Amino acid sequence: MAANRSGSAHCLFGWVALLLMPVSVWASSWNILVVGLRDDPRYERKTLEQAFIGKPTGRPLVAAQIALDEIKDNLQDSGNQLKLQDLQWDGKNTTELLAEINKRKAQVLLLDLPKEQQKTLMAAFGTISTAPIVFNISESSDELRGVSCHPNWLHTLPSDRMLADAMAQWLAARNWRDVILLVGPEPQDQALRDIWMASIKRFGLKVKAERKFILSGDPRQREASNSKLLTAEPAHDVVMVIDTVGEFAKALPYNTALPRPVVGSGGLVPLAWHPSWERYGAPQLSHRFQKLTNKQMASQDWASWMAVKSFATALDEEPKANLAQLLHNLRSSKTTLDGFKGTALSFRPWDGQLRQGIFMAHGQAVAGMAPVEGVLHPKEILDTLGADEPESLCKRR
Amino acid sequence: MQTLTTWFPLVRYAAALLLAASTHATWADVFVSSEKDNAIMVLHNDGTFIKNIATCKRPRHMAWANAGKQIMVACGDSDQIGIVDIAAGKQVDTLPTGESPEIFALSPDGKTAYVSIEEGSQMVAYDIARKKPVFSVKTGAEPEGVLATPDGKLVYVTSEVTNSVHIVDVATRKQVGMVKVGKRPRRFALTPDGTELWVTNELGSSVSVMDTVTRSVKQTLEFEITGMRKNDISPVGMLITPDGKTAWVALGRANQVAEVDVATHTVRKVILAGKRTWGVGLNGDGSRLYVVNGLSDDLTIVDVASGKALKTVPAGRVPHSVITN
Repeated sequence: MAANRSGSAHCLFGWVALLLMPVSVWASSWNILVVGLRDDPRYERKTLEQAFIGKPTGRPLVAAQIALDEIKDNLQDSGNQLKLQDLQWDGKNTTELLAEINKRKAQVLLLDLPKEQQKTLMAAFGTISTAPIVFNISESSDELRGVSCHPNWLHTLPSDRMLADAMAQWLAARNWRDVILLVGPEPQDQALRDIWMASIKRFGLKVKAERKFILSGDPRQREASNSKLLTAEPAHDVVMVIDTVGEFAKALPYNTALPRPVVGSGGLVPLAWHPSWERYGAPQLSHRFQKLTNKQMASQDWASWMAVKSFATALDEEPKANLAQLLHNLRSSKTTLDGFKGTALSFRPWDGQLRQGIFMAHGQAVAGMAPVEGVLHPKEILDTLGADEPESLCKRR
Repeated sequence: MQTLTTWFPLVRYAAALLLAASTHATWADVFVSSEKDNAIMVLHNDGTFIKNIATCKRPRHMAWANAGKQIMVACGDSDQIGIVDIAAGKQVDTLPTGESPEIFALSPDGKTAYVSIEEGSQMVAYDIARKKPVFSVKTGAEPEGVLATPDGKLVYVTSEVTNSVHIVDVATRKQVGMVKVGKRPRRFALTPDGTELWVTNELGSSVSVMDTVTRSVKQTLEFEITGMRKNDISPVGMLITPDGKTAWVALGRANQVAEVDVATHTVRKVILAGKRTWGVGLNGDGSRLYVVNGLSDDLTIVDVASGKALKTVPAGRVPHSVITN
């Protein structure tokens, strides 16, 4: 216990020492560190092979490198050198991770970590007067943008609520309002269900029936496992499925009792990125990624690319700025960003979330984009997706 | 028999007339590149459809070549510039380029094509006759707009990703300057006196006016339209009239085209066209403006004097650019 305490104290001291160093020593040299999990179940071979829509298809380093390559010559011309490194953490020893971040003098972090590990790390930064600029590139949980928020924490991946709002808007615009809602058995399915219910309410959809599904071939449990029985009645326009695992949702389209579209975690899915999107320079980016990795660019890759791009853009705009100024410019929406989604993007000052359009996609194509045409907002149309300023639960802005 | 003889000269005359008419029918004023039709659409000045000329794949930017007898067209998906002969009514030759060419400019002598190569992040100069690259200059990622100065000395290239304009010296084949402009710079227009280079900034909702002597942005013209937010305005296509008095700027998702006073850098009026206004072109006497609408797949014809859209006609699938005779 005592040893532990002295360990973190040492680490704290390290950070302070780093901060006290004269700025000129490394003002022109910026270290970006991608932090992943050593044994990340999302990247196990079997999981990757299943390729559930919306899940990552590989580690996010390549996408970060692409963003860096796009702009590094420009930054070099204005006296800034960017270096990209990655490290894989065991996900347990935060003190060790902090020491490593310190040792590598990382001023910018890209976190490809599960929710709990991200929270722990940010809580540790909470006790240090100045933390690095941290980008969450892989967790969609609204909690990280809400009650657990941190002034240095920016989120390039859309939150669950943004995705749910996008789909709800899409359905409302089509007047496909009557929904059968199927929710998975996992606790995180229930949590996600609550988020989607808020969107359903916001855009005036109606849940005609809500049922819990399970994955089972057991005939005694067929009421909950047979997709035809689950979707036979009452009358509805769409079947909405909430499935954080993805296996049930993947098999649901065309297996419903009635000819109705499936949306949510399967069928038509809201995504941050889709490789078949054809406009706003998107194909060039998807193509660059495909060339390097031999796979299609996923939402998490885009979020990783976007994180490096965000930092680099802020630096490109003010080459002499220090870390705090860069963070301020990003967090205050002063720096606007090109995410190849057609409009200028920016971070929301109240929770650090990147505002952005969301694609409604299925396996082969993008059916459309939210915000959908006709949706209105008093200030910024992109803020019709996700927690708007008055409803944000983030206290540390 | 007699009757026929009597009629014969008349028949001959009519045939000659018909021939003249049919030759005249090949005369056209408006040419629109249509990305998904792999064709250049040929129209009369009133928008009447004449024919499609098949081109290489995904035709985008076009320029007149060979004293107006030919059109050169950049084909993004076949990595070529197609050369279309107007009289022959077909593509007669191709020039191989780097991957995915979009915009190009020709040297004043018409011998060199300066092409932005998106995938390679470079501007490549091609000898058109020899069909060979002559030199290349590295640019920021996703180079787009290209403009060669009338004196043949400089080439300007925008980089969409790095928000800058690269200045390339043709004699030394080197970049001699780089100027920061607005977000996602797309296309150029040069004032006839050569003193101002205008750059559209798609995500900056603005035009940067660059002083070509000091090589710095002297003014940024921000577009404002009542009832629209900045984000709804995304300027791309642009031209400056030969008299140097007026600039026409397509405002993208604002679905409008702006008439801008060049001397004062102020917007005179905006005119509603189609969805996502993209390329713009003027007819020979400057009385008609043609606006290509990328999302509604059509072409709006604007009467310049009254500032009114006369009509909108179909223009293939994903029309990109328009040029006129």
